[in-house]
Amino acid sequence: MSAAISLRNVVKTYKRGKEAVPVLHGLSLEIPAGQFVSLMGPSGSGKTTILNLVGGLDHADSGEVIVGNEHLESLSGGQLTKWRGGHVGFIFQFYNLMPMLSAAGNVELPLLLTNLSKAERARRVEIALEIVGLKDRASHKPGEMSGGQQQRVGIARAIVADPPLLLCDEPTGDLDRATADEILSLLQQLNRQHKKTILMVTHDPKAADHASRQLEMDKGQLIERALATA
Amino acid sequence: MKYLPLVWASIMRKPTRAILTLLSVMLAFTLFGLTIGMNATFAKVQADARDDRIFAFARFGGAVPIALERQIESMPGVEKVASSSFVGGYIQEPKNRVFVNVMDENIPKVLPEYPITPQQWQLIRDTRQGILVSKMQADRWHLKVGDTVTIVSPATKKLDGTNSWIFKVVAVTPDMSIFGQGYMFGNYDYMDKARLLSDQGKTGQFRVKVSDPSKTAEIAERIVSNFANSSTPLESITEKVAFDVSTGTGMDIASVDREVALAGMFMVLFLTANGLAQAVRERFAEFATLKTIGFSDNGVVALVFAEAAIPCLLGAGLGIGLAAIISHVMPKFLPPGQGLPIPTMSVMVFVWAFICAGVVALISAGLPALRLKQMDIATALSGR
Repeated sequence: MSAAISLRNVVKTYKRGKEAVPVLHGLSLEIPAGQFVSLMGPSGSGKTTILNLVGGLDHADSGEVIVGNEHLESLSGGQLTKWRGGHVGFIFQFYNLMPMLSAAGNVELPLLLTNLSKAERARRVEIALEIVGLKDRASHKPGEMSGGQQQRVGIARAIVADPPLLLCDEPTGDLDRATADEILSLLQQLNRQHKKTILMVTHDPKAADHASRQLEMDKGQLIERALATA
Repeated sequence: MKYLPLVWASIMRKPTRAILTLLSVMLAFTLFGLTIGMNATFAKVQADARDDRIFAFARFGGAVPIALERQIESMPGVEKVASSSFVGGYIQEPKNRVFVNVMDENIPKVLPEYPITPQQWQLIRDTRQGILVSKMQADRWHLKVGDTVTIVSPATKKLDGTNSWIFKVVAVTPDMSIFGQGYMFGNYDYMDKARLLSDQGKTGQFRVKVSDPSKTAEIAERIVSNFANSSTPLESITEKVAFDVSTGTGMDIASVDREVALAGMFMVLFLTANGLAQAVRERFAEFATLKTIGFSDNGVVALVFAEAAIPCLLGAGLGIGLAAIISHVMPKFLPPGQGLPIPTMSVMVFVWAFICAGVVALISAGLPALRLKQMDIATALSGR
């Protein structure tokens, strides 16, 4: 299987005032297409940094970040923005929905950047909402939905443009156990049925258990965790 | 157009704030429209002023002997002189103030540009009590040709001891921008012969037409010097100078108007800029999300600009529309016959309003747009 994500000798250091805080020091990682990978680790270990680098939201100080066939380190800010629109779907802990737009309006946002007709956009929004089980809530605004439903809208928004890669930052961090399980099952379904490559950052070992591969960050190094057996 | 629902939803996210902003912008543009419209009126009056005419009147106030008309007309370079006076009073109630300009038979030759036909001028010669009533005044007092109107003029007593002046409408004539609330023109001879003997043979002022416009100022000075030692010393002023709104006020009214309009624009600018900055600050993470899912820097900036432009342009349209309505109904609420100027809502006033609205939106969106362009998405998403 070809690598969907490839990080080679990635170094990333943040500046906190005058102090330089190294987060990633020569990190390498290969994630083949179609994998559902969870990434755990203590706060400040660099999990979200990896997610930001893979999502083209941040640049590495050195090393290579290859997603699909694209060397992200060689892309300009504008090119990265365009690339993100077509290749990556983002799922956030706090959903990051536009409160004044309906569920359908939120899901449609990535499609506004395409040349699709209004009718085609509406069709794709309907499909995405159907996949996440919210077809009948299309006209509801985020404030009128539960946390789980809002996260489903967030997932629908992430998949509506049919990107091959989904990046999830603590997608169940704001949900109760039962709802979290529903969301994680939905992600599994997207991985298995829709062949999405998923990289999920989480603090929750039970959430990580839904992934087909588990990684843990420890002192800037990645450790492969053995999968829990049923 | 596909982004319009997103922009509109952003604007209406806080409906009270949006509506209050729109109302403020609308009122500022109403003020803008009225002041710039007033300047347009002044500019038109000034542009229409002829450079071959002079006003001559008593230097120390009061009436001027009508005999001076022939003396002025005999001066070299003077082509024609007409006398002009007035009967000022009210119809029925003191609040219904009116003002009838009474003029002699020379007036059509001195004021040939007035939209009154020779036949209409002749009507007030043939009918001593006849008056030409402009459409605006006819509408205001519900007058039509053949109607009789009584004007009570406390200041102009008649020979019979009364002060009721009876006029007969002989024609309804087109309005002129120089008479903002319309006009009534009557016969000087009727007024002169009907008033007290002590007042007869006098007029209010002369309108002097010269044959060579390049000598207007010189002739105006000669009128003053020729009559300096007469029993009624005269003052004169060219029409161009008289119709300059700044004359006699000691200040540049057009500039004051512009400054008032500018102050209104600054008010709108501060208001929209502050509102927009606040709205962007509150939704910083949302803009970060938009950038995350693929909206470009320019795309996000365009959304912010549209968010500023819609209330500005909508407010400008509504405000100028309100100013146009006010200008239209203003004559009905102002005392007529005072020559008070009415704002002219020309196409240029509308064009300026929309240009200013665009500039205000652009400046308002400037700082928030810069902040969004410089946004570090990862930091903004983390809420830091």
